[in-house]
Amino acid sequence: MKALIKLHLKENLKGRSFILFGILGGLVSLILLTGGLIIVENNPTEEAISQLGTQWKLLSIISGFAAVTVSMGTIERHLKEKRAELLALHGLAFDRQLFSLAIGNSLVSMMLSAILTLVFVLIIIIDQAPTNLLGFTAAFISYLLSTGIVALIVSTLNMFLPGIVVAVLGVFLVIIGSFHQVIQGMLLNNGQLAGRILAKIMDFIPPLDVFNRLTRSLFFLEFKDGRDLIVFLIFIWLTLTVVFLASKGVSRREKI
Amino acid sequence: MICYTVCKFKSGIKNAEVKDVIKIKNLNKRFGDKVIFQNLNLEFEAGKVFALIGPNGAGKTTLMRMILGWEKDYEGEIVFNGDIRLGYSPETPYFPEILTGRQVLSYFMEVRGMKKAAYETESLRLMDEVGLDIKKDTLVKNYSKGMRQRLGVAQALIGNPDVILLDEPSAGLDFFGQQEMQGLIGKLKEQGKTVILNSHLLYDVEKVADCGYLFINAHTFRHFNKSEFEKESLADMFINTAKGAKYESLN
Repeated sequence: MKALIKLHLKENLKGRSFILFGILGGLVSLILLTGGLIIVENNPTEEAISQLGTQWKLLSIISGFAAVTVSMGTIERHLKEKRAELLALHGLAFDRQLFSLAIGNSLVSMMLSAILTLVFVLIIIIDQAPTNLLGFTAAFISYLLSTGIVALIVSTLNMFLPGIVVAVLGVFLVIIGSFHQVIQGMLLNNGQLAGRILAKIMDFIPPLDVFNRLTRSLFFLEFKDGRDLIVFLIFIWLTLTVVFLASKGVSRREKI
Repeated sequence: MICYTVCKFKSGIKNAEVKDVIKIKNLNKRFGDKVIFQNLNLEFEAGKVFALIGPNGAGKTTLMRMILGWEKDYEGEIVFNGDIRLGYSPETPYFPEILTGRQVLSYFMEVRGMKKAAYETESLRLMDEVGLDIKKDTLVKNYSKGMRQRLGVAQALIGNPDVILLDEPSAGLDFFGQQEMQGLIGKLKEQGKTVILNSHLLYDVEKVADCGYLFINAHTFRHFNKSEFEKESLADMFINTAKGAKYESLN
């Protein structure tokens, strides 16, 4: 498994993507810093919190899109290029190949997400943001893991659906997931049966906004309620289980 | 009902006493309504170069896939003599373009769980064996078709297999490329390997094969050996057998 993951990283981590994501992340950070998208008058601390909080939110949405782009066609390509059979002959079972690719996608997405934050980190250091090393590290890990979750889900979808469909679904998943609670609240307030059903369906979409709230609370050293952390950990465990089971299922279907 | 069986000769039979490395017994295979094999019985002897020839769609690649265990829905038996190791080179081998030839071999060896020190020397040996030693550090994306095919054979040799299945190894190669591939197959034979070669190039087959099977359709196939195609060219044998099959079906 390690060999396939290593190769997958090597194939996907091209210098160009790093530069592109570095620039993109830098632009987002600088626009928010200089453009003053969020201004809370006469209260620099609140201003800083709003700006940095919005940065985390925007960066996690962009990272989600990056995860979709990285993961949307990899499994399909793996099957089409007949890589699977040769690897199986050399002893790597097909389900483990799929699992490795999903993990590989997740790692590539996390690396790109890390690059996105480069300028952001510089701003945090220069501006002396209201956090410490521990808070930043915990926030950074939760930010990376939430991107990893998106990559895992998109990879799993690609085991069953073509890349183009997965891309659309993935973008939808990131947008809805990033405003999960707001949308779910609106649907429930609607009071109609359709609204309640849709709100229930939304339980299957990863609540990226909850993950983001966790990231922000860790970053601003305001982490008190463990509920978000528990939801987050359960989602990671559930996603990994789904990827594992889907790999087994597809392996049976493909008979490799 | 479709069933499948893959058995292995086990204890009590010494390898030297059993010449056949693979036996195919009463094999029936169909894709939907199309019958590919009907009661097919084949034997592959150790240390020989076998050719599978026939028109497109006759089932040559399907047979290879069955031997490799990738095609599982069939009736009959494919029996292996002990725990024989199989190597396979596909018609258009996929290799990661960002790796060098040597790295490709190291990659497959790492997948097999070999230690780094072992695969570094073994990959060099195999590159040398297939005549790619001077291109070992060239990226695969810069390899010619012939070089890719030879790398495919090197990949098939990983783990020292007893039987090597080569699917159209000379397809798309120029004259010199074909000559090199013939030399390589000859070398494998000298090493005592059993080679099962799927090829449309009859001239190529005549040069390297000891014997083989000609498939025309599910009902018509024949065994041939070197002494036969030294008298009658494989092309003539192919045409005559195909004609016979046609007349048979007309009658």
